[in-house]
Amino acid sequence: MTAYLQMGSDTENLVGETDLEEFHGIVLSPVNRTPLELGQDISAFRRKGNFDVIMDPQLYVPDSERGCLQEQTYFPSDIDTADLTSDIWWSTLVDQLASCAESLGVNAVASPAVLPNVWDPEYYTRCADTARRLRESLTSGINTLTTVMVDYNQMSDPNAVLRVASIVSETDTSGYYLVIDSTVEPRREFSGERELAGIMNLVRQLEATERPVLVSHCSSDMLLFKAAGAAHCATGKFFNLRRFTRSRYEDPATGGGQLPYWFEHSLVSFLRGPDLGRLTDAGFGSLIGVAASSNYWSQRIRDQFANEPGKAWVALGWRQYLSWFGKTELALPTPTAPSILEGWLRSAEDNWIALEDSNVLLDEPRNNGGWVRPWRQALNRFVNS
Amino acid sequence: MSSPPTPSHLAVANELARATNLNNLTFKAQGAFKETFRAETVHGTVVALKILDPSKCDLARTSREIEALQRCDSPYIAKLFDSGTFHASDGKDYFFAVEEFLDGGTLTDRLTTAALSPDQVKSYAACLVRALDHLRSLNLVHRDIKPDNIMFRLGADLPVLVDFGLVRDLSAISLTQTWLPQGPGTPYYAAPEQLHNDKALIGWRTDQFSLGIVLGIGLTGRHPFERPGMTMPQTVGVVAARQSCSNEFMQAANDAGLAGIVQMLAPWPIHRYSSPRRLLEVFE
Repeated sequence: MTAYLQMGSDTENLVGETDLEEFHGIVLSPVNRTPLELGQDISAFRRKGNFDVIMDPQLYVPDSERGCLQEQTYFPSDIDTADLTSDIWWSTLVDQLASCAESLGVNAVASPAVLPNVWDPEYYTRCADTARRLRESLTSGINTLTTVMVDYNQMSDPNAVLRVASIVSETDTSGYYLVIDSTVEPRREFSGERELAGIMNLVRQLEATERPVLVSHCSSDMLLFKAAGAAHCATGKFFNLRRFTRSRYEDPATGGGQLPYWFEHSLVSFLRGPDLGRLTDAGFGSLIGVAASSNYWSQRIRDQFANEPGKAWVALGWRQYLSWFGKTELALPTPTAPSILEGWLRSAEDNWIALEDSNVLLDEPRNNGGWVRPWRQALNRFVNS
Repeated sequence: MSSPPTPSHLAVANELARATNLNNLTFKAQGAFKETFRAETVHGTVVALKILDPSKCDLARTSREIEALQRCDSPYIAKLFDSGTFHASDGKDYFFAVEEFLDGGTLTDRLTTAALSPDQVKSYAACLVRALDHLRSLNLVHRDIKPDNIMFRLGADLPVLVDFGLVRDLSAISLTQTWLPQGPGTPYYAAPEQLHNDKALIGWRTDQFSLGIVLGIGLTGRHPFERPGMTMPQTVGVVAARQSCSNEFMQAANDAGLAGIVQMLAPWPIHRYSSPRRLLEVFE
């Protein structure tokens, strides 16, 4: 299926780059781009290739730093004071969003949703209803995706998963745009066995309605969502380290992700520059550049290390990760994905144990592979449920 | 045999018939809120004149029923020709509706003589799924699908869905209070989400579940969730507990080539058929 590039600050130039060809879809970022820039981006994307362009209106956190959001024509000027239970308010928003999407010429729009205080059935009814309204407002063949925001912790409850899936699937749209909200620190992997198994089950339930699921804001956890059957996963250049969090919308546009990282398939982990040398010196060089971690950009990094050792490589690191993501997303076809992933994770765990046994300690204290076992457990729980 | 009930509103019906140019009025049935009369238009079309007692029926629900029927246009849903409020000489205002007269009896009548053959189940199911498809396109949920509310035209073997008294318009605010332990519907035919008043889960798949119960009873003569020796309330309890239908029913459905009914009866809506189109494929 298609990997999506989740656009962020100054990422438009990544679209269509060498060895990122697996990304045939783009999720626009109205927070980072003015309406004029969005229009220009789409024209440029169309010239570069036949990209599937999705608009995420990003109204999740109305009171956060809004960047360019307030300049968008659909942005409700009364969002701070409006009664968000009002049907009229949502209808107006949806009509304006549809109009904006049509003028931009996107392929699909994710229905607008805000992060709730309480993740209750009424909230999901509102989400389903908003998606229905959007579908009815879009007139020019633009697809509607039902935005399904879930609370990471709540997904540990199997009945909550079925309830959410039942409610949001009531509206017949072209697919789902899944957003996972959590308090897990941005630089940490999800590591809840039950929570991850629940999210995987949600993906499976939604896919069973024959409408594709696009899991937004993914990092390496894409592996689990693909194993669950997600048609598409989206990531961005900073998503090598960060995922959807409320704080993400409060960060300065230039903040975060400035250290260079290499994504390593054999460990399902990000490595800092010194870690690469450390592994080689300890006799674990064969763990570097395994599977899709070996790509055009990994070679560029190696070449640069050899020829210009002091030169910054953060931008190459983004691309090395994105290239791994796009290729690996394609390498996990349903229904064999769970068994493929089980093999990868088992191997990763063995590799981490070997590093531990040899007392090879990576730069970051928590970069110890501790999430691999919960991922395996979540995968087992998912497969056996 | 018991004598037929006496209509309470015969005088009102006669007044109304004169006002609406209906002739040959005959009393047919009495319900909790309304009385039904057979009548003929000046063109000879046979219609059902329904008179609703304003002191007994819920104004908001009646309005929704009328509005819903006005929007419907399906051969498998009873047609509404006229409706309104009538000020009678007794000084009271009555709701009335002039609907298609279905004189082929109810599914309940048919099931008293024999169970349905698998082919009949498929045939009725295909018609009624089309009715559900139409309702879904209008964002409506019937919420009271049961053999009493499935009727037939005289001489035809095509079922017609009637009685929209509990219809829910999903695009309008719910009239059901959240604190109620159980939502509107007939418990014996209700989905788990109705039995729990789980309003957010009410949708077209709620009707799909009830239709599955009806088809299951039509096929086997027993409620699909009924275990040997169970009473009706106990059977409803099994549905409310989100258990699966009985092994005996699953076997019977399989043997009849109607295993799809089992999926219609999944405890959670997400596990039922996701679209009427998919459900229709099961029966065609």
